[in-house]
Amino acid sequence: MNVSETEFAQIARTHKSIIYTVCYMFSKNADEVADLFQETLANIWSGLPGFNGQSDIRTWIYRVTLNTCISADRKKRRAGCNIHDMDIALFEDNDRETKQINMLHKRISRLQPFDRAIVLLWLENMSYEEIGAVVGISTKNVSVRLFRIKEELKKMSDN
Amino acid sequence: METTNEMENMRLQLDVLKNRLEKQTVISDNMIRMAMKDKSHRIKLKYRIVMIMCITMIPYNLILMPHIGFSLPFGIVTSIFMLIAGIYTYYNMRVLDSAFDSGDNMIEAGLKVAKAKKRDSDWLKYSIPTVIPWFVWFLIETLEKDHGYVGAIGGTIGGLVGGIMGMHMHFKIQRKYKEIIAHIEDIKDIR
Repeated sequence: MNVSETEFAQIARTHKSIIYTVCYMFSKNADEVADLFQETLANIWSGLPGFNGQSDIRTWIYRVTLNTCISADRKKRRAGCNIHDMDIALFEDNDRETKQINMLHKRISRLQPFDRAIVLLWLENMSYEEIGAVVGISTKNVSVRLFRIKEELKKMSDN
Repeated sequence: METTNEMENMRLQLDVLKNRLEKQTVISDNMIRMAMKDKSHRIKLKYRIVMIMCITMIPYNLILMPHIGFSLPFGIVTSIFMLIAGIYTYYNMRVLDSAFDSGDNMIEAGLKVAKAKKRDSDWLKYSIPTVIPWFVWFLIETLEKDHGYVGAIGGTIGGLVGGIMGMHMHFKIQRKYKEIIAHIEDIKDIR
């Protein structure tokens, strides 16, 4: 899929919350979110010519974002410049909404990276088939893993 | 708490996060630069080709041309022209490169690209008036040799083909510059 820079900017704007949410759930602080967000955008840009449009672009963006987040080389840190313009301080703000978001972050970040990906997709109301297609496992495997994840989350809240 | 309720709570929390993110701007200077760099790479590739050709031609003009009957001053003038063309191209490539350094904002980057485009366009103003007398000189030196008309015809055909190719490359580069500048304007409007 060949896209112009303007079309790419449009795609990034349309799917920014998906990308940011996943990056946020895989990060420990604002810098890490910025790193992952930047890296994901770069991967989406470089991967777009290979995207044949047969699957939904949202699913494809999820796949790229999750792959980037799971396999991100945390050692490689960019030189400290402010890359993105998302004026959001989820790790610092202390209002009621942020507390709710942080609670979600706390729960999800305690899961294994792969499980984090599955639960995020499930929370996005994706079907088991779609989740399987994104993370590359069978539908049955998704259902088994989700059952375990739910149990784990329950244990977390019980504790 | 029931697991279902727990998950529903998480869904609500995720919605809160997404609603907040939807209100945010995501267009970043670096993202735009990254995209435009790809376009500028194509211009730079052409600049590199020009530079390699200029450098390769210098020893040819100085050493081989006198051997095939051209005067040494002709070889020297041709070499100087090639050297200036190479340096000019290199300098323009540097200007284009600096446009995408992370230090400048998009307005600065746009100005630098526009500067590189103008410089590239200006080259024709200097090169065409230089090439015309050079070509006349080339014809004079060629015709002085035995069967010089053959070399003159060959040189004229070669000059025409080279000129057409050069102009084609020049206008292609100018088009790429225009695309980058238009894109910067586009993004400035979006922002």
